[in-house]
Amino acid sequence: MSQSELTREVARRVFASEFNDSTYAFKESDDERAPNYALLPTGDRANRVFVVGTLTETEDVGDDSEYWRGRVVDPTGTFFVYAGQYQPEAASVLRDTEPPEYVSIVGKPRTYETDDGTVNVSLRPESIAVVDDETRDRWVVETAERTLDRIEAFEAWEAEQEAPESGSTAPTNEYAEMARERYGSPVVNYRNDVIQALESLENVGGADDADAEATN
Amino acid sequence: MELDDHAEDLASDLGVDKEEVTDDLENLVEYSVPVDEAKQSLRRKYGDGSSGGGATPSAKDIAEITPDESNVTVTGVVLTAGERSIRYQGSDHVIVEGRLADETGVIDYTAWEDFGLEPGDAITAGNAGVREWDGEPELNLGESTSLSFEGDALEVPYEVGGEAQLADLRTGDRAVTIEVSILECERKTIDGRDGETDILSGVVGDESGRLPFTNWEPAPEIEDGGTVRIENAYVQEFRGVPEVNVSEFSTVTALDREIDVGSNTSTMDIGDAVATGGIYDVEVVGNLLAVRDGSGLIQRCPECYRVIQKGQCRTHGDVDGIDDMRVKGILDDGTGTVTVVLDDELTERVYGGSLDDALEQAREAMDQEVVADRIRERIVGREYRVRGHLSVDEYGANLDAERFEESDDDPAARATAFLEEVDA
Repeated sequence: MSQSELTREVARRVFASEFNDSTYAFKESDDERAPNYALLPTGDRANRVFVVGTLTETEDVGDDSEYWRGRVVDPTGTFFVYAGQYQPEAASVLRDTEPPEYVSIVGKPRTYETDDGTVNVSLRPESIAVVDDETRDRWVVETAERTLDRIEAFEAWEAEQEAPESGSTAPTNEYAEMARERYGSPVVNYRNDVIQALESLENVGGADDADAEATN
Repeated sequence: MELDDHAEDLASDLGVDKEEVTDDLENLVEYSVPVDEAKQSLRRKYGDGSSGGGATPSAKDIAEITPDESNVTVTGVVLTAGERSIRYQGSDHVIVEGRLADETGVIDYTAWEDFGLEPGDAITAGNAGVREWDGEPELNLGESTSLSFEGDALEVPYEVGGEAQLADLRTGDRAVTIEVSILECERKTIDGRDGETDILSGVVGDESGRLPFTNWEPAPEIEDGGTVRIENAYVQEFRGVPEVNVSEFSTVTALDREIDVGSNTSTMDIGDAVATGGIYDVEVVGNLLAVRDGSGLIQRCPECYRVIQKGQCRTHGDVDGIDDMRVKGILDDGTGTVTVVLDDELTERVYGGSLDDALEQAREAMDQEVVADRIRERIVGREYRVRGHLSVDEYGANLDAERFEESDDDPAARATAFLEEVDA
């Protein structure tokens, strides 16, 4: 068993809006083989993510060899997924799948800078699987929960910065600190995305309840 | 004159003759020993032979005791007291272990002498030794400890007795009382420290979960099965998980109530579960992110049953492999990751066919990897609720699945409940 299996990086749950804002990438050590991380604006690092959404379009954008781009939409935005010859299995799923289809993707965040200097974040898949709508809905709920956990940890840390004399027990939060330095965008935006994502699910909330009962 | 005052204090504290103390003290001071150090030395020499309330060395609240201290005097209530036999320097000793509490906290203790401690006793232990175990202080009550029983009951915010649920037991727990159902039990003959002896080993369960046990002096109530109350058991680690030890000092009584095993287990985050270092019976929920190599149709060595590659066993060389099926899958819930191992039965279920079907499929494709591929297609990306044994060691975190079921909770209901929390 290889070392990478022993210390396998956990797959973060993150919505597209936050993922696409994760433009700062870094390593924790100078070791050539040290893992790359994307800095999430809610204050965590992500070497790997797990996303589920609707594959809406696929296109072979390669010149000489196949290079597939897929758009995967969640309630907050779009993930751009690129798979070429080094991701043959993922590339074949993109080639063979007829959109729209619910897909789950395990992959690594990648950043690239365009000619005009903006940084885009894309997803390089390790695997893509076609899934059902229940799996997609569960992912939305779970990602909402994990995102809110990060936001709460961020806010606890922020409160501590503003009132250090209060003797709060909030732990130091290295990645929250890094996120505030690098991005400076208020985390409350992501909180709104969380709520919006949950409300977008069918049969959620008060208004839709009557419909739900009628159709079930 | 000053020395004389010190001697006077010491003599009355220790309850020994003042002349003697003065002589000793003068002697030490003449040898350039600082007075404070000399006094400590004499305290050690004479012990705290006087009335227990003599408050030597310093009286401490339990919460204040740190592993750096050498000796303390504490007053508290015995929460638990369990006897255990240990072999020390070639002979057997019976020691008593348990927990002692005051208003401020709880501490583990070991009594090396027979003080007759019983749960509920209020005691003052003068000159108890402090040692460190796993970063936490523990008390040693030994020869030099003067132990006295307090007449008045002491109020402490902790429950007397060692009643526990299996899910709460941790390695190192002593004098625990559990009410469990015997789920598995077999008699084994082992080569013990006094030659061959019979023991019982198996699995017990209660509402909170299950744990393996060893019964060193076979108790008929356990061998008969059913439900039992076990008092004064202790917990030790065995193969990466806590194990309940039932000794000759444990009391086992048959119960005539039913125990609904596992009705009250809680689901853990994978990150938390892995951090415990191993759990015998745990349930986690996560997405199956990848099916690892070595899954699907595999061959095992007929001698050692280990998985072989291309007909070659690492130990037995060229062998005629036995066909089998398994899945090693990565389960991840965003807090951590484990390798879930499915046995042949569970693998047949997720494959959607029998071993014969898998062999047939592989024959047709002339490639046995198609079996793993079909499993991948069927399970990767989905959310599963998995229950089994979690071990964490140099091979990583592995969860041997007993149950592997696709999540069936209603995402809309979960979302609605969560929204209410967020908006509140």
